[in-house]
Amino acid sequence: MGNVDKKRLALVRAIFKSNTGEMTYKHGTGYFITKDLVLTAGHVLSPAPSEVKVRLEEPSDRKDPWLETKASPVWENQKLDAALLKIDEPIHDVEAPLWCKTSFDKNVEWHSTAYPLASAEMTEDGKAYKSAGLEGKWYVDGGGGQGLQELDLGVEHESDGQWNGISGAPVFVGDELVGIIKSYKTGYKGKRLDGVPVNQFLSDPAFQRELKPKCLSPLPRQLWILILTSENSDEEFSDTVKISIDKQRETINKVTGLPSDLELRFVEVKVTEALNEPTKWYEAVEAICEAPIMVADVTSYQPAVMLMLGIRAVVRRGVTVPVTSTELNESLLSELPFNIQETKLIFPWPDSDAKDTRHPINRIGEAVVNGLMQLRGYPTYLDLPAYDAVRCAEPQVVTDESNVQVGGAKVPELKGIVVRKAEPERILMLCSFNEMYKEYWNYVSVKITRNFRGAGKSIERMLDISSPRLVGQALYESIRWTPCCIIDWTHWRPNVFFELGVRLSCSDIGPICLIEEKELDLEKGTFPEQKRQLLKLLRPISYKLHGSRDPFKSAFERYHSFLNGDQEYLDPDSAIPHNATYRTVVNAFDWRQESFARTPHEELRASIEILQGKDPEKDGGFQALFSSNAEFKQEIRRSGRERWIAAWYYFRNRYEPEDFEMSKELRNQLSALTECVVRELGKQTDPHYQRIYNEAVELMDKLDKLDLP
Amino acid sequence: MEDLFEKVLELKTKAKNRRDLKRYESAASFANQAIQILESALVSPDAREKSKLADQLADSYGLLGGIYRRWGLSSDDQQKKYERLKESFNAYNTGYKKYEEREEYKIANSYNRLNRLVGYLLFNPASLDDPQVDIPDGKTLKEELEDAGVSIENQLKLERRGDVWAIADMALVKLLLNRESPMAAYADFISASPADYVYDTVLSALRPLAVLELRDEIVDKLKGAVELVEGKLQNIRPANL
Repeated sequence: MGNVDKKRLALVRAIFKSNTGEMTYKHGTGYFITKDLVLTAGHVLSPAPSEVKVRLEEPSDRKDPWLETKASPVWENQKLDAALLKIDEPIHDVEAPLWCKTSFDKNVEWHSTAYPLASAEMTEDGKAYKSAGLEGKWYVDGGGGQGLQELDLGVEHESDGQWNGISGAPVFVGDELVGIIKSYKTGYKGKRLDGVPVNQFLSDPAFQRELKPKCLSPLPRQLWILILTSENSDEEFSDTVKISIDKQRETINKVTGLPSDLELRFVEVKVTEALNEPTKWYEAVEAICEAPIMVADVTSYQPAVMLMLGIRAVVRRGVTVPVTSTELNESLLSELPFNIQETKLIFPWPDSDAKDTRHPINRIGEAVVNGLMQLRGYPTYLDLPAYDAVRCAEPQVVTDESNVQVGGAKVPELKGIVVRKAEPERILMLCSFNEMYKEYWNYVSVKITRNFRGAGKSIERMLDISSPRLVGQALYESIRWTPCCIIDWTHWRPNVFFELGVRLSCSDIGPICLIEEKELDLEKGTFPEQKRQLLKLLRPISYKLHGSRDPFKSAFERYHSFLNGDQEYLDPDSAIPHNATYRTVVNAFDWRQESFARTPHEELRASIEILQGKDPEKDGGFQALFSSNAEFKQEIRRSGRERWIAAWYYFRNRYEPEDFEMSKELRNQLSALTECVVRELGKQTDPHYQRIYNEAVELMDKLDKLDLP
Repeated sequence: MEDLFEKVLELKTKAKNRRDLKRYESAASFANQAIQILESALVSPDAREKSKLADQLADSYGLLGGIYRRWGLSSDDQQKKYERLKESFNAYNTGYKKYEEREEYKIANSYNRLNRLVGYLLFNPASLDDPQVDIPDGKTLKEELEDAGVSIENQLKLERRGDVWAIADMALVKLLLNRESPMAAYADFISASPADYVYDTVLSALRPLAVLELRDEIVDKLKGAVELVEGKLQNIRPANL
């Protein structure tokens, strides 16, 4: 049995300050897993300490044995009750712990060292926390049932209420770190502890990201451009993008309100580097989420590029410019993958050179400028499909069954029509539609129907979805909402990989990926490097056409393990958990770009401008289609009036009168809204409107007086 | 640049509100502030969106011209009335000559072009039928109206298709040139179902013209047009809530 490395063991002290200035303390145990990261239990740091300190079991020669750390952890998972603290000054070099990868099928001995209250001694200087060795039996079949799987640890020592301080202590089996202690069970007279298994940390992408050095971070804060290069990308691709965008630098800066001479920042990501290991994948996904502008080399529509474009389509309304180095003409354009057909693809026209305005070196920068302008002007700007579709509410279907129960709850009834959620009813299959795939579909669909009992009544491809909605809309909606989604990689079709990207980024239940075994012979096909990486990272299950049913049984088991939240024992250096991309997106997603982030008065104003335009009096008409219809026009006016009033009422009551007196910015906003209400109601004869008008004029005059030069 | 246009829009709204409250001095001050901001931006060496700036300048000069016109028409003092109507003409004339007319800005509009003619007519009613008097920087009033009519007609075919201001301007040209009855001249305008504030603006141009000492048949047409437009406005304005 190995020993706990005492040079890495640490006492964690969290200091809490109350409103009255009273100080309270919490103690726990921590373990250095790198030279500056201490793994401990989350509750030791809760709620929000004002200060956190760490003291090594064997302090260095420093005068002060306590090491400084930020009060908030760099990683925290409340569900797991675990956290990582980052020390300001790293300690000696520390090798990564031996993470437990063994799957035990019988109870084993464990050991640890921790700082229980029971071992604390009173000294002249106060309470001294002494470490204590712990050991016992890990009951490998225990710790299950409701909630997450835990380590069920019997402990040889009895302590009634004196276990405080051991939370966060490392749990070893031999030399392998199997988890940390998080609590003790009161029902066993203090002889039973609960722990968090390490595979649960390791399957959290954010935890993984903290362990590895970062290649891309920190991403620029101001405007920057992500350049996604493909496998065997034209060496000049990045230069072309940079030159083209730099030519428009001043305009780009102006459009985005930045100083005109500010340098633009470019971040390059090569797909084969992004796929190289999980942490790099997570970094690339973060960059895709955060990049205000992304230019992607879609030449040959490589699977990994399409996958990343699918992620981008879900996570960002920002500007995305797909560029191909292949010369195209009108007839070739119609043969593009359908997701790409919907985009404004930039390509070199035959015989066009750099002087030609149609050449990518001129068009990329221009496309970025236009995209930024439109993004600013139109809140619903999109340059990739899927963004809005995956944000639709869960589809429902009408049913003739009465008294249907879903999850114990009766389904809602709308005016006598019973509806229920549509998606759990079916299995969604994303696959090639090529003629050559027909035989595979016939085979795979039968196998899935037979092996996926209970997962859905029917298996449907995009072609089979019965929704009357637009094909693209229904497809992306289903990709998000269908719990059981199977993706057959066979033939490596670009569309399928775009859809895979959509699914990975918008569903907490990963897709079940399949691939016919002949496709694993990568030397015969194109882009072997990225295909090999994709296979390693996302682990599709291979099947043999007209072969055994076992792969489909495994696929069904995998689906169930996804649903049950079972932790897979994956090599954290090569594969990613099924929902790791989604979890990365959830953390990195820039929610500020969503329209709800606007304040109510901004939202109301935007809703008026969509129909009326910014300056309808000047424009001589409204923007709304068919607004020359007299009744419709009246209604637009009426609705606009009501919205201006609502925006004004909201804003003026949102703040105290003193706030307006103190802040010129608030006053300006209030003034703009007040003027709009006066403008709208000036000629209205309705007494209610006249009352509001008089109020607004009164306020207008007050504001004028406050801002007299 | 968007912030600048936002600021200009706010200043124009302030100017319009004060104009409607008959606080003309304050209204003119806000319109002049908008003009100042836009002119500074237009002359700056790295000016972009010049057409948009010039278009806003033309609109702001038009607004200023309208403020002076209403201010002048509301004055009992004849001297002040004349001075303000002259100011009104100057504002429209500047808007037209410096911006609206200039080929480089590609402004498809007739706001200043027509109103400078109306403005001139207001303090010189005889000019409509006088073939000897050229308006400042231009030809005779009749020739100018004819040119304006051709230009607006062309704009209505494409750039200003369905634009109620263009339709209203065209109707006024037809009346002043004695070409059509009020009903015929304003048929397109009425069928375009303009918003109520458009009726207000049209009436604010028609009413002072209808009391001028012009040829009887033109005065009758102008009065007929006032009646017609007022009647239509009454149909839509009470429709609150």
